[in-house]
Amino acid sequence: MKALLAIAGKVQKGGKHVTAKDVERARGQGATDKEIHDTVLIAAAFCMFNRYVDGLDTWQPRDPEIYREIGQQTARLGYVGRDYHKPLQAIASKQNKSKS
Amino acid sequence: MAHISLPEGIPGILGPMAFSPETAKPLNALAEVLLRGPNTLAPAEREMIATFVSSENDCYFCQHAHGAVAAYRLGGNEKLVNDVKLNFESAAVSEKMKALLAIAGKVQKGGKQVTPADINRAREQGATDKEIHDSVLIAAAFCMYNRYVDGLATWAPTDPAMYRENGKRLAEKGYVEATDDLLAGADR
Repeated sequence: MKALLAIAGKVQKGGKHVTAKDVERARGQGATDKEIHDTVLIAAAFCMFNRYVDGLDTWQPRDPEIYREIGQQTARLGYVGRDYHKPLQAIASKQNKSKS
Repeated sequence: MAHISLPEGIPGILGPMAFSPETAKPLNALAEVLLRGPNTLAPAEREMIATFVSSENDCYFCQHAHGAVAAYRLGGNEKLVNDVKLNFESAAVSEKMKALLAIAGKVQKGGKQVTPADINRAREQGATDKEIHDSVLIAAAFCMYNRYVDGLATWAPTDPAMYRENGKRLAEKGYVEATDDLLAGADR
């Protein structure tokens, strides 16, 4: 994982930052081609998702409870199957409570 | 040499796509919607955003592959594509496109670089929310594609004729069909 995270960190800076040495280190720790491929693509994909979220200046709640709720739901239902309404309702009811 | 064992002789992003068909599918579906789906921005304009961001990311394969699609759609105007890469502010594109390219350039550096002033400039030139959204997402997506291509050290041909040929095929067939064909060996 350390070797794969090192590769992901290089990808975040830019694809050309990944060196043969980084890849050798991962292989030395037993990483397969598929694991290296997926690590590079996950890192690259999050360079997209992050820019999409911040580039549009989206609203990002600060309450850790919201992220716990979304995290549990995503783990249970997956990214396609999850339902955003539930955590949003949880935020709304919390905000109503704090108002009253 | 690529960092992992990719099929021989398949250029750029197509190598890892052949290696990993299950991820190639959503990647191509996204490119298809973003660059060729129904939109008030012409496909050539969207390809220019993709080309500009790929150039800023210094991704040889992507900037030439998408630059060739843009040029093909512009009747072979490779000069305009190069002008956009070098300095879009002085290129012969609309003021709205310049504003959207400015946003795309900010997204390439990082999402937080996009300012309300950038958005206002685009709006003043008539850009809609959807056009602004799509520009941000195209730029963001190419920050992914470029890193995928270079992060695995894929092979990028340098022959402009290959890119012209490929650009024509991508413009005519689209990302899903052209890639499926290529990976199935239909064009080889």
